[in-house]
Amino acid sequence: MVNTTIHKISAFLSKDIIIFLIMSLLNFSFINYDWGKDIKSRDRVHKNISDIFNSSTYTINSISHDFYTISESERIVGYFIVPSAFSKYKKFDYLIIYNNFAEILKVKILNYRESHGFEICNQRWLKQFIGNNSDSEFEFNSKVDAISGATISVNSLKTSIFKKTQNLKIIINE
Amino acid sequence: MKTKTIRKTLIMGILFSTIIIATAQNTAQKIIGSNQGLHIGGYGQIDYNRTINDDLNYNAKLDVHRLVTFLGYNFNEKTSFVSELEFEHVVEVYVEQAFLSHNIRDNFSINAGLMLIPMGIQNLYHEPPTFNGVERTNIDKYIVPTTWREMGASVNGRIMDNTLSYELMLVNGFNGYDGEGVFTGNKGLRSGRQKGAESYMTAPDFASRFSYVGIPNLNLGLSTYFGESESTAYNGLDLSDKNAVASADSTIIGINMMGIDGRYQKGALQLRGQYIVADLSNTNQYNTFTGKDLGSKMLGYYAEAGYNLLSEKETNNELIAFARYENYNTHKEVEEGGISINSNYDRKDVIIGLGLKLAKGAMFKIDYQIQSNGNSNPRTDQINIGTAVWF
Repeated sequence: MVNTTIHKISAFLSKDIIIFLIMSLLNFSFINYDWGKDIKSRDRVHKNISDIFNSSTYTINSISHDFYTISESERIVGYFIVPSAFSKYKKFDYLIIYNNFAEILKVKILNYRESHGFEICNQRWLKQFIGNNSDSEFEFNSKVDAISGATISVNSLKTSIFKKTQNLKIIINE
Repeated sequence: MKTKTIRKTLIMGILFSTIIIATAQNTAQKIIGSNQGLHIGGYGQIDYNRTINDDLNYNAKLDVHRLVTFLGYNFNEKTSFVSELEFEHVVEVYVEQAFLSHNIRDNFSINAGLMLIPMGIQNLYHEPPTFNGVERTNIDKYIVPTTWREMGASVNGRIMDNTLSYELMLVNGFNGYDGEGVFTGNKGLRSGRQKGAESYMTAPDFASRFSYVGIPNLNLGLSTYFGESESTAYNGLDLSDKNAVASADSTIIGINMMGIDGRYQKGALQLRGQYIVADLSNTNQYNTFTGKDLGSKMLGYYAEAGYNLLSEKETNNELIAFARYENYNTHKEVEEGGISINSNYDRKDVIIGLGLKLAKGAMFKIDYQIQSNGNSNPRTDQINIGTAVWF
């Protein structure tokens, strides 16, 4: 009796569960980017924070939704986040630094991997996000120029920054 | 039977709930499965074309010109597989791209497989909502010739603080001779594209592109291509047989191509220009051997201006009015002592049209083309209407 049950279970397990396992592996095979573990990115994040706030004595603290607070002498002076977004096929990682009113102080692309759309790495173009505080996605987008040949990356970055900023505003108002 | 159905339902249920949970996390892209990993997209171009003539009636042509699926997979942060599968005119199936890409550093990657040759704007950026006009430009069709993709390996990278990108590529060349000649005076090198379908190669060709984006709102490009066309006459060739070698040498041509292009976009205004010249050598020998009429120099250029008429309105829609002048000549020069120039091949197009963008990646287009050539032939007018989608 036991033998046939085991036989039935193993028959059940063999074919379909393999398919399920493969699908699950595809689901979870990609390791999420951890900026803290990437020395180069970690250094760049800290360099940008210390430049913006003119400080080497700040501390950071992880809060919800991947945000971090930046504090000076027990007082929160700003926030930052290192989100990822997609260019055409590959992912890129970038940094947003906010003041304590959720206003954007800086956007910097940390890792851009795709061969196309790298125009978004240009600091002069990224300046258009600074102080772009609109709660209307249309108005937010209209304040940043389009780039011919980099449409996907531009739209991806705009959508991502807008969404993250809205999240931060919600967190602050709680 | 019953247990089998229950088992299958259970498995599918688990699969679908994983997929639903995963996609709920990320609305910015169409990704199935996890946060990253499998990546699906696509584009489509559906056309209506009709020749207009005062004296004669012409039928209209309606065509699902292109339907393309991107299928990409990111194995990890550094390695990706990129592919584009294409249906052309509903029944022709092609692969447009299929290559493995590995980022050695963020700003430097190596790629191998079937890749787009980086010549000109539309060969690289050909998703329909990214260009004005229902069809791709005739210069890109006849001179480039788009969609030009071949097998090989490349490196690409960015320098100068992400303002200059470069791509260097070694690929197989055009099929110039496979028992009979392939190139023609009318279509240039277009029929020689191997497209990765059991391509063959005698020796690799070299392609490169440099893009400069340091000037705000401007994207400048320089493309080159050097090599010789391929020929089946070199397969199983006895290199000590001088006659056979001389004969095989008559079935290939040398190709020296260079292109410069620029795109400017600020606010409602978009400007675009491209200039491509191709110097072909050994064309007399080739024409004599194959009976073809290939020119020794092909030249094409265009200038285009577009303006978004809805830029002042509070809307995501765009209504782009544009005008373009194209000149492409596959017989700019012919080799001395051979065929004579066919002035029918010196072609000019003037196009004016409108594009209505309803959403990011969804457009209706309409345009009117006036085509003429260097001879005293009367002009041909054509009206085009189409849908362009990209997701």
